[in-house]
Amino acid sequence: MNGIATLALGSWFLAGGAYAFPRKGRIAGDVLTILGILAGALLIGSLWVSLGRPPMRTLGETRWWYAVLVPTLGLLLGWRFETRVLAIPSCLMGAMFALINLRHPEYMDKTLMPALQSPWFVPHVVVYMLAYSALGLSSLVGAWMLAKRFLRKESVRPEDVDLSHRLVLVGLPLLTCGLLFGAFWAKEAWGHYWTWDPKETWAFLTWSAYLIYLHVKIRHRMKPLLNLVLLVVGFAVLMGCWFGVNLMPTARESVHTYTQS
Amino acid sequence: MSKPALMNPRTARPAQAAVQTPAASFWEQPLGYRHALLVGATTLGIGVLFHFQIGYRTRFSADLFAAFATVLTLGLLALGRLRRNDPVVHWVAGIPMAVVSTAMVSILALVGGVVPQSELQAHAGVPSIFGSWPFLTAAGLMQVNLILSAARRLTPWTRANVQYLLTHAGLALALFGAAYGNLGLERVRLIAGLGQPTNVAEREDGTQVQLPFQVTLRKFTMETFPPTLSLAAEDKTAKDGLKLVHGAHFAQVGMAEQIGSVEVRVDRYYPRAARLDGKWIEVPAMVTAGPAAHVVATVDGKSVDGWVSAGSLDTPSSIVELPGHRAIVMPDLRPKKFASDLEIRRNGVVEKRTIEVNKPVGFGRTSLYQISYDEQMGAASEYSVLEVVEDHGLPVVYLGLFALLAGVTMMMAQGAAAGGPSNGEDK
Repeated sequence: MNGIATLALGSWFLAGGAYAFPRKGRIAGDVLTILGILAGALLIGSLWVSLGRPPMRTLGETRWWYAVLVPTLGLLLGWRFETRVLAIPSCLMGAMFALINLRHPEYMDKTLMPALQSPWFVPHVVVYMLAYSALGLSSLVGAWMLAKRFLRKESVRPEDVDLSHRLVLVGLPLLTCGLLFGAFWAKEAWGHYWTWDPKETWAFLTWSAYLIYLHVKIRHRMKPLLNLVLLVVGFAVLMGCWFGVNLMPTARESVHTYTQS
Repeated sequence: MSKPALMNPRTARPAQAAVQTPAASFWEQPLGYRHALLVGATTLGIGVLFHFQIGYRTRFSADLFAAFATVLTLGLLALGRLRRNDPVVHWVAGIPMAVVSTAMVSILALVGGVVPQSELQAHAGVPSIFGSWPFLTAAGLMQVNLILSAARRLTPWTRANVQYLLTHAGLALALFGAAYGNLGLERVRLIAGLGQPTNVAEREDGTQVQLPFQVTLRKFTMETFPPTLSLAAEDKTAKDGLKLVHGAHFAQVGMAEQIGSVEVRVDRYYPRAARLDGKWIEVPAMVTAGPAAHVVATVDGKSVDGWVSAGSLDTPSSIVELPGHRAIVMPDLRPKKFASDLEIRRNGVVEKRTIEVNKPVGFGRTSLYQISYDEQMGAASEYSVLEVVEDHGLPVVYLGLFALLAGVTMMMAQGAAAGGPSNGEDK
């Protein structure tokens, strides 16, 4: 399985390099990205079969989903929005998450606690990973533009800001669906749809951060720099929900500790 | 040349100075974020005042709240329709108020997401920030904004308005249902003992409640996952001073696995075992017995063998020690499934139902949930811990959440091509 993981990592890394040559490297980049996605999908499928359960219980397992979905969305949305801006960041992000998993392999056992044995498990996590991928890409584009602005003094192009915004319009509805699926599931498993569990609280904070961004954006012609900074901040809140909540003092009060390996 | 005519002092007007209008007062300026911030801060201040005057939270009649909230909602809906273009209504329903109220709720939620409840209780006398008056008043302001904004978009029935109503009115409905439900919410724990009928449950604060039905546990069943093996090593930096490297496979005869730097092979395995006179024997009939495995562990070319067991009620755990302060251990068994066969006596009628996690049992507005059991006894547990929930607001909450789900589905279907659901259109 390490071989498949390395193939995915290598493909995305090389794809990122190929995309650096916009004209000659485009087709090679697309082929390598697809190869990496297929390798990643094969890895997830193999894990699913070998573990006998959906591989989305631990942080490491969800990182694999993210590693695969980010380049996938980057490719699909790049075609949809007719832009090449997503190509390099999405491949490098996929490669980075794959590298993290390879460097810090997690214990993946076959057990799945009763609360997770639910039809809601897969939809809830997959929708969230899709949302995180779209929102992560929007922030990555934002950070990329900010870096170009401050390091190379290049001005922020309105079409790049527009692209970031479109990615939020993809990610926020998915985030909302993930939140709602979680509420329906919580009612079935624990008797109440919302208990302000630390994980739920941070999920709400992520949702409200992007909601506030969206409402301000609708009302005002936001300055491009401010727009991009807000998106980066929004992603920081998202990371707080995904990883950070496990490190907070409130973690011991959470029933969502199954995301720990 | 004639002299210029002198000004008639009766009709002459003084020389006109440059026209100066007095600076508009704060509330005469176009209503926007600053005004919303002021209203938000005032709302929060009222919440803080309530906290100090009334206390953390006072028990409020759910029906009284529902009546008040319904009247308020109808009033806001009428206001939103009849005075749709009024600047104040427009502003209260608008985005500045939405942003400020959402931000207020979020900031308080952030406190709750970072500061443990025990510390909030100790330092601020607030068991939970989510039930505190400041949070409730902030959420109330957000609700007013949601209702008014939905009222202004009730007509015409364009696609954009329908999508808007589904999301905003859906959320408002869910919040209303949640508030109503929480006021009258009953969430009590019931411990059903084997063969012992009971109708007594306990609230979180320890008070006992008599339920209108009786529950008897007839049978408790539990399945566990087979055990795995782990390599334990002393590590002062790790939690409990022990670092565990876990094996991925279930222990069974013939299993061979590399766990860390140790090659582990299982040549004997008893699903139920006990230790008698220093020897491990298989005891299939002993329900409380745990598994044990005889392993051969090879490290640096040298092999060590012995029995590994997580232990049980009657038998202490057993490990195989390795050189370098390491050992092969068997972690505690993990539950795969646990279920309770219940007999529920209600209104003279007896029903037999089976309950397990993710499969609650319900009748009327009451639902029973399988929460836990006697973890020390495991499969031999003689009681089952159930949670009994009665939430009268649930239908309204679900209606609101499904409306919200429909709204975001429309949003996804529409796609990002238009740049947003109300691009360029002020709220």
